[in-house]
Amino acid sequence: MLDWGADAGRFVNDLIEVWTQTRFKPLARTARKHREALTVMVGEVFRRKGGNDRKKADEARSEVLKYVLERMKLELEFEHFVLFKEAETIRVVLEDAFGMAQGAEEDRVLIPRRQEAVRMIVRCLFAGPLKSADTKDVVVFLRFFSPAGDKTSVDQDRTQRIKSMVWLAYLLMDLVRVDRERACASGTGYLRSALTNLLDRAIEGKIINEETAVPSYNYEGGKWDDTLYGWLQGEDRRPLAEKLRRQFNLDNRLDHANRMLLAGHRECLYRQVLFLFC
Amino acid sequence: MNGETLFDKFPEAVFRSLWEQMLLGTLPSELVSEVLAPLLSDYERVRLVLPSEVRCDFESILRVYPEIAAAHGIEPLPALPEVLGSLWTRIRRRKSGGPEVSPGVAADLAAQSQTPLPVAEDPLSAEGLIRPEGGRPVLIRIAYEPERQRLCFEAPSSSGRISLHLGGRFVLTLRPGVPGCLSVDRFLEAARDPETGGVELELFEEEAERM
Repeated sequence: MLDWGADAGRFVNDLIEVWTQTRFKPLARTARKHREALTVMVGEVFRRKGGNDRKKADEARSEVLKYVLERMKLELEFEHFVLFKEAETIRVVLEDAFGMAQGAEEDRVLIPRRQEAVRMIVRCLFAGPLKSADTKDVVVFLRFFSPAGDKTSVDQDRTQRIKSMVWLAYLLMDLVRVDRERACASGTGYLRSALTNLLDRAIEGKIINEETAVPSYNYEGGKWDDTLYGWLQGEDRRPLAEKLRRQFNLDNRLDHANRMLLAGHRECLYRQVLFLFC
Repeated sequence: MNGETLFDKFPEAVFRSLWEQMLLGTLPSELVSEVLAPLLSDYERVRLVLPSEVRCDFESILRVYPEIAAAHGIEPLPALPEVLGSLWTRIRRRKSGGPEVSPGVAADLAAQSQTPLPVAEDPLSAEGLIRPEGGRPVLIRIAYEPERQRLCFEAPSSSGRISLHLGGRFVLTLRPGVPGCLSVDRFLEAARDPETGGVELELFEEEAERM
């Protein structure tokens, strides 16, 4: 339990110190100039009656950021992130953010649905009791977030597994977005067969009919054209589509067990996507 | 971008998005708590196996979300600039023979009074990790030498030259394994930003000397 009355100053100081060591330094500079006002403001949020610690702390952080951004005339949006609308399809994001030459500032992209994706991954990578989680999995997972450190020394097999989970989470979210009614009514069995079918069709070039420009001739009347599955079709993307299919381990191969997904990971992701979106 | 690169880059961008939001403090506390659950559920064991720079990054996140740290009984060490602020106050008091608080630092001192120095037996020294702009975190040791009226900084594990800035201004260069010292008067004069009243400590990696 925090001592909210005494900790407002520390709360503001810590935000400033953390921002100072990141590329949010301009925020830190502005916050420093207004430290006393921010401390008073945070103190007021903390002293409000009702609400739990988490909600008060969320509100305090939001108020601090809002106060600082107002004094910076909202430079953050333009200088720090490539922003996409949350409603943007992931296909559009991938084309805009990664369609260009390598070296684009992909680390400044805010990817839609990232919160749902990470929830799915954390619940499925650490499905058992956390105390008994494999420390190697925990370390690899945490290193994924942290920009620090020499990535080449990281366990590459486990890294591949987490990356595969990210892709599968987004493919499943896209599947449920387009085919919500059928997916929600039919459950994990439908997701299992639809995922395999759509990936195979993407690899074989059977999502979008390349002989004609009429969408109604495409698979299921063109309903998958704007999805990741449609995006994966084509000569350029085929190696990625094939790699994803291998990584998802839909045939349940036992070799490279740490590198690929296991049936338990896939089934858990199917359940989670239905839980979050149905 | 080829398939192999895309396979790597997209997941990295998803996690990086979340990381940025955690640093900013815009991700809801409840979600951060869920995301960090594998770390929080066994903090003392897991933090020991994390590389120091990754540990430093997660300690930063716990500073942004102190309510999560408190809920798990974790007390992140105070950030080095905060420790330095406390040192500044104590050295100044010692020098002037009593407490002396300027109006601009009142709020700061209130926070510092809650913050014990990490090295209890030697209260006028400290150490901690701090990240140079765009670089990996560096361990900095600070020692007050009252008999020589100076404050010395050292980066024991650093392999390059580092510029140390106080209060927004360059004060000295740290070379690997060699302490750099400032007179107490210079420290007291330079460390607090006159405009904001806060102690600012920043590091910048210097380019390697050309042969």
